[in-house]
Amino acid sequence: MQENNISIAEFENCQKCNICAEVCPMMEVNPLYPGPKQAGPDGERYRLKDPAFFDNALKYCLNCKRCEVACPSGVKIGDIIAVNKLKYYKSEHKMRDTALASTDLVGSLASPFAPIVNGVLSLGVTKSVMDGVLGVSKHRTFPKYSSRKFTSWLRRHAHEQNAYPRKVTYFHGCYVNYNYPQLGKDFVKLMNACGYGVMLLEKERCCGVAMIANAMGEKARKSALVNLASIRKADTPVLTTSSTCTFTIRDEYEHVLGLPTSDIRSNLMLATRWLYRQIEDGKVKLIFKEDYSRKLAYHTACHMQKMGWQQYSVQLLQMIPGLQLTLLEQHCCGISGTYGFKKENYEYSQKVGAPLFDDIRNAGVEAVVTDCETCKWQIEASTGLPVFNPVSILAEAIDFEKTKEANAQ
Amino acid sequence: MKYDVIIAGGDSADVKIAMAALQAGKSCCLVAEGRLSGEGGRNAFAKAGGVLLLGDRISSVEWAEDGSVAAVHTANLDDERLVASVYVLAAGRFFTRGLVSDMQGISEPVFGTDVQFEPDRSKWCVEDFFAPQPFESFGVITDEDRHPLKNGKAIVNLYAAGEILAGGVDNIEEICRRIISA
Repeated sequence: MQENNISIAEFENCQKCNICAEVCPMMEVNPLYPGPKQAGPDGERYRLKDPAFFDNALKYCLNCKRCEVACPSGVKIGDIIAVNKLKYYKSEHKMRDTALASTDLVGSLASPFAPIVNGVLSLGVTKSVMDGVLGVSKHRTFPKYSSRKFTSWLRRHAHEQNAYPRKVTYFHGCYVNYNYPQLGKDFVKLMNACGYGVMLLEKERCCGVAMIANAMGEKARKSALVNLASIRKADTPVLTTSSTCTFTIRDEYEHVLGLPTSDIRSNLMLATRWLYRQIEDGKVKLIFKEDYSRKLAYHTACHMQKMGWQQYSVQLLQMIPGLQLTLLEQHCCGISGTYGFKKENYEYSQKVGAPLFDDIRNAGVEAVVTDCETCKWQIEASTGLPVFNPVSILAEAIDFEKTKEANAQ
Repeated sequence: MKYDVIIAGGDSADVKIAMAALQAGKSCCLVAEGRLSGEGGRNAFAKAGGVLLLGDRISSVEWAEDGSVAAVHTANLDDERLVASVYVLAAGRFFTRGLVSDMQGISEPVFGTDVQFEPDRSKWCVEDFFAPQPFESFGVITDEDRHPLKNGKAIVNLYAAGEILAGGVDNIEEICRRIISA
């Protein structure tokens, strides 16, 4: 009898029950995708014998990890697929995939010319050219670039932040830095109200999720090593506002890129988890505005569900008096980062998200809350409703002065 | 995090008990590793305000001095203490890993409760495929109040429900009633 497991991702524990295939949102809408069981543990037996058995249709995997959440036998199906894509996948649109996945490079280039870049990217003619030449869906609108990076803004306020006796470190991610600094500012406001100043990591690179998804393993590993070294040097908790960045660093670095993360896992977390626990331990108090009123729906992002952390965000939001919160059924929105921007995926992406969009329309809410920025783009584009991070809602709902006073020791 | 009821799920009975708890106005957290039939029920539970930790399992248990459960931790929320007044073990049998077997015996991995099984390994199954199989009646032993035993002593704030019980007793409604009146 085999005593020790020597395979990756527990693939031989698969009992062929097919529950993963039943929950896979991609298999339901795309006949070209062989499904998690075939792409994962079943295909792995063949690929171990001969890599020629690799099927390029694995590119259709959303990496939503719903198969792993559903597996009763603990098989890491999504990891098996991701690792094989990194090893064997050959893209037919190499230039497009590289451009989509190089968020740091493109962001740094676009930021100084943000108004021009935003204007050009939103032109119909640009979209047609990108669709025809590069293979980027013309139905997509890129998130706007900000002319001022979040990091430049925070450095200008470093003096104020340093004045706080207690500190947290912020892993802002590419979206906050290049596209949506407002979320970063909301985070700083919330932390300041709790009595904490905000610092940056010594160096921060893109978490690498888009590079992993686009089979750019070496580049992803380089970014990962920079991030891990900086997180190890941080002497405060390292907080994030993106569920996917967090999940990638905590879990995918180790499971997909093979870089150990057990020493930093407990120090890197979503701001909502950290804040919830501070409140529960009686170390932080939030005092909310008396006249606050909003009707919102919470969407659990796939990676948030995989981490099991949605409770932190939901319970914090439920603390706000005057906030009526509807919990949406757990369903993938379909975009999966760069995936939904690709011409050949657009239709599948929208089909996957359709039940969620219906659920949102029927909820009768004014806006949606979620911890993932790409869910935000997808839900905003597909339902027309604005989408916020829980941190922004908390920053908006607190009485800043009273909360600050309550947390000043 | 504090709840009235925490359920170690897996069995399709888990969501019935969870819904009964919610409907009785109790807060309830359901930890369930795999998805099984009754998926619609689990979604309804989450929509009704139940806390659903899907794809997660109870990874360790804190014991009080009197042998009752003080808190549990899950694989995902490793350093989070989940505390309840009542815990329910409804983890199903072998397929959902509520019971685990090896060549020596059968154990219940979450709370480590006492399991009744035939010590002679060769008698676990019979050759006739269509005959009742002895292993189907192996399971967790409880006292008359459905509290599982650990080293012969009842765990007073834990109930066992559904297929995990020795002898295949159907006690789901009984457990619902006990939780509602707890």
